[in-house]
Amino acid sequence: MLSRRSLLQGGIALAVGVAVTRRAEASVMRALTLSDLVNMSQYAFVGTPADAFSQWDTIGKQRRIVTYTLVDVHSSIDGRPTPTASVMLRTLGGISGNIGQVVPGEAMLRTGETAAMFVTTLSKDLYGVTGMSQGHYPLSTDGSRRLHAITNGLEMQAGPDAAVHRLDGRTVSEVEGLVFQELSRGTH
Amino acid sequence: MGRTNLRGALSVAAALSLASPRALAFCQTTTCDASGSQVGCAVDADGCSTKGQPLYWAEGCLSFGVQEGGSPRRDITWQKADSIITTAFQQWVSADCGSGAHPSFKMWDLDQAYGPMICDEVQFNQNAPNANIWMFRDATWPYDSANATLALTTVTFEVSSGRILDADVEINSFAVDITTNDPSQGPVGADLQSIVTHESGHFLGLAHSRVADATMNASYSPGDISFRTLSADDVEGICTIYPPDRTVAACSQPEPVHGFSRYCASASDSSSDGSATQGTKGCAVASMERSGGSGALATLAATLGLVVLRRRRATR
Repeated sequence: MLSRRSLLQGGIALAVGVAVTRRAEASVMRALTLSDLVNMSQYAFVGTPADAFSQWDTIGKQRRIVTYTLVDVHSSIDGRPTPTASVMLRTLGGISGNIGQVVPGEAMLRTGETAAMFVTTLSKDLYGVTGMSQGHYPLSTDGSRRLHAITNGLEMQAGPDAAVHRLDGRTVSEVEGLVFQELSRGTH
Repeated sequence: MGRTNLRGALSVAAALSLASPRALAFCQTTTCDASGSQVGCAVDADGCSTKGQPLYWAEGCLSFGVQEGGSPRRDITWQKADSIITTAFQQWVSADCGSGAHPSFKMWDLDQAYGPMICDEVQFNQNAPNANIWMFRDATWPYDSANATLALTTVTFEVSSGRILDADVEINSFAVDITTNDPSQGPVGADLQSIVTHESGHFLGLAHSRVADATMNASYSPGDISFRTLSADDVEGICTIYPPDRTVAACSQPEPVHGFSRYCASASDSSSDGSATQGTKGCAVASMERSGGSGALATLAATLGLVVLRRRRATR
């Protein structure tokens, strides 16, 4: 029987072809407001990274190390259930053999660390964290289920409307309310 | 509060807190800051990684180059970009580590010796020449969330030692209004010199700092030019990573890992793990576009692979 890691690696190896054919999307420059974050994301959920694997991939023309993380989804934040109980996320950077790559500002998904995540579709069955670290909020481990913003990116020109400010320290239920407010404005 | 005023206030606060065991809060990037490297990793209250090998350049002679195209979209020539990036690095090289000493590294602009970089790709070739390249992305931003990213630095390192092997910087001139003028000359958008001074810090091994007035602070607002100059926290950081009394070989001619080339390693030289398997030292390897894989077949394979993954998981 194949191990979980073997399965993950197999799925990743086969997914690469999809990833490399994707075109990047873009719009204007600014820190992501909560509205931005909600509307740019296909899904928002609470989940726990179960396994991860890094390898060299081609993103655009760039040959770089990326990390694929399998995330078990526990609950939806935005009322839009993910198509499967677990989803594959890709982040820039990782370690392959004795070579590693760091991309400051990227979301750091840690195995076993439950977090609220806002994700966008990269290709079929493959997602990225919306706005890099702006879309990733580990939950506190004291039982209060509060979100913790990791504002570690130059890209985060954080004003008071910034998602990182509006979500940091909120409970999951409070965040659900905020997200539903954004969705009810009908911009999605 | 503007950043200038903030700097003043923080200077006073810093002076009042000299007895604090940790008045400064710079972070050095470690191997634990790479995605997926969570085993045995931890962070302190400032968000700094406290485990893993700290990243640093082992050499005393470091080099960089600027891609020849510059940014026509933002009216930034290669010459202008090269000048601004040189100025940014000079901030770090000339940091005052005390008693007139400076960090133990020098920067070489290889453009001046060999001409601008031809390669416009993020690359690290394990068996072929390399270059640490700054490049603008005018036509598209090759990653998602283009509207949230000003620039992206990719630092490649040796896991066992933390030694930095290569660093490439992409500037998002496609989606971001990058400007180069001073405020007295007109409106400032995302100030190139501020951005590259910050990214130079990443290039040299610094992570983000929680000190509000630090150039390595995570938060940058368009119109702000205060990132152009280093704060005490930035200086402390660079002098700690590269202490003046560090023993390094005499600085003569810098050379990236496996030699230098202005050109990208060609697709035919690339092995399956992403590294070039052979190449000519110097400026002789022609630039070629890498193939993107076989689309339809890969799509089908990916779908099948993920279906298998899900079924396996569902039956556990």
